[in-house]
Amino acid sequence: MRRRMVGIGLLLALMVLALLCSCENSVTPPAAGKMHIFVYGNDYLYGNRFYYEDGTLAGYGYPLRGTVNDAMQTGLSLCALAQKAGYEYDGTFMLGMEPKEVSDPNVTVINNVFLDPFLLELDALGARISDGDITIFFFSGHGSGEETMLEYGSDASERSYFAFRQIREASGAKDLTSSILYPDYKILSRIETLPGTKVVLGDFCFSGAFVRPGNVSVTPGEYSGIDATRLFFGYRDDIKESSSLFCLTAARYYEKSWEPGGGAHGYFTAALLKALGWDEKNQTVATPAAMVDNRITLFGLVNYVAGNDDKAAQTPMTNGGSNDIILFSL
Amino acid sequence: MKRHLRLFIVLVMLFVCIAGASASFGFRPYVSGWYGVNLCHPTAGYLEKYPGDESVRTPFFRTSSAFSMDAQLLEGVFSIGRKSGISFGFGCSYVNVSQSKAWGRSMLKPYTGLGFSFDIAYHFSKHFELGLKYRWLFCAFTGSSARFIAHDFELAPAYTVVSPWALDIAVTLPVTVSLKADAVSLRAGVGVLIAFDSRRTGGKR
Repeated sequence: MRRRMVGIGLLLALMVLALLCSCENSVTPPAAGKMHIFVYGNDYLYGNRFYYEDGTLAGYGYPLRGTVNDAMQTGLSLCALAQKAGYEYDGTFMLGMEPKEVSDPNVTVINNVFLDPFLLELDALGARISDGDITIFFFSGHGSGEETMLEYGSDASERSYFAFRQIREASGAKDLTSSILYPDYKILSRIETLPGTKVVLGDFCFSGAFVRPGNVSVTPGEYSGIDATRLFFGYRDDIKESSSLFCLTAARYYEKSWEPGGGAHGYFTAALLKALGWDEKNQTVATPAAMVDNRITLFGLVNYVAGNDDKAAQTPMTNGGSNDIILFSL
Repeated sequence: MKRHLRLFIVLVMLFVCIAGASASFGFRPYVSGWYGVNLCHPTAGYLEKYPGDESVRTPFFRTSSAFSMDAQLLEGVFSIGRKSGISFGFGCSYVNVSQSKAWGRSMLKPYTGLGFSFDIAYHFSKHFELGLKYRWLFCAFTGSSARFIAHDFELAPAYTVVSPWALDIAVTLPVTVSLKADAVSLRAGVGVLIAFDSRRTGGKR
């Protein structure tokens, strides 16, 4: 009897040891790599015509006023947080036509970036990223898409676009600059191939198309045709494709994104900056509203902006699944 | 079809008659709660590539804590002889899993689940029972409305410590396997089970 008890005890001890050896405590985490901050803010003050890639006219857009400021301040807040967290970081700010200056020596500001130079910048970024790095992208501008809800599992990124600065035309004495609608799936496929973890934030109409289907959790109203079976069994295999890409967007793939009349920031970006604790007036980080246990995670940002974007017509959208990314440990 | 149904009814009646001679039936609703460790193994490669370098793998298990409560309100007990018996029933369940321990830049989100449970337990003696429970849980990540479905299978030995009036107060050591679309979790904890046995409500003579 005693021998049997000792045997059972030894077996239990071995099982506990095996479990402990399989947990975080016994596996060394990857070294924290660099943080890259890549922001793009388009402005529409010098032309509001939109063209498809083949040159056909798509339509005219509202002259948004807050998009460049969105990109600028989001970029600055992310850089300030990276600095505060003690990360090695660099920033690439691609802003509108008006020249901007940033005092941070780690930041490069490029004005008036057309589509092709943007893609070249993205390639250049890819060349300097390592596997352990994290890159945060932010896009602010016009987006184009369709206002219809899709069946669960459908990919909206093929029918949605982000408007990059592109076509310059001389019309009399005026220098008109218009935009080109570049498909979201092309942007995503470029970003997905970059090494390391990628976090994409987007404040533009139909930006939810950045959130690819294949998630194991959904929020109500994201897709039609959701049932319990699909929530459990659906799209397991697709998840692997985007395991290092995380997105948070201002609106769903069938919704528009808005900015108030004053032109300071889009509703989403205003909430995002509060979540990050950015004191725009003093250009410093105060207390981030999304910080919990001295950490700002992507899921924390999602929860904050979803509840505080002050615009019922747009609903932030993000990837499903269990994993959350720690953006800053302060 | 009718023939099979008739045969089934006859068999059930026969079983009830034979068992009824030495058995008793009653109601034994109970509430139970436990707290323990949650070891989550992400599947479907969701975390495998994190943080992008394929040579870096996530730990096999991600640790967090879990809390669970069950209210088995429709619970019948069928006892054979004085000591052993079987109880089975239906109830509602609540599960809360905390955020996992951080590993590199990765953490697993906390979530809460609410749903139904079906259980069957074999009572080996007056003091010891072994329960098997299935839970169907509708879950949401805490603080958000992102939803998913989870299935729990639980094995819970329980040892009755005291039995005041018609109550049984037992200590349980449940072990649960939980399945959701992107992870399998193993939970183990310690808890309390408080059962009310309707067969013991009669007065003493």
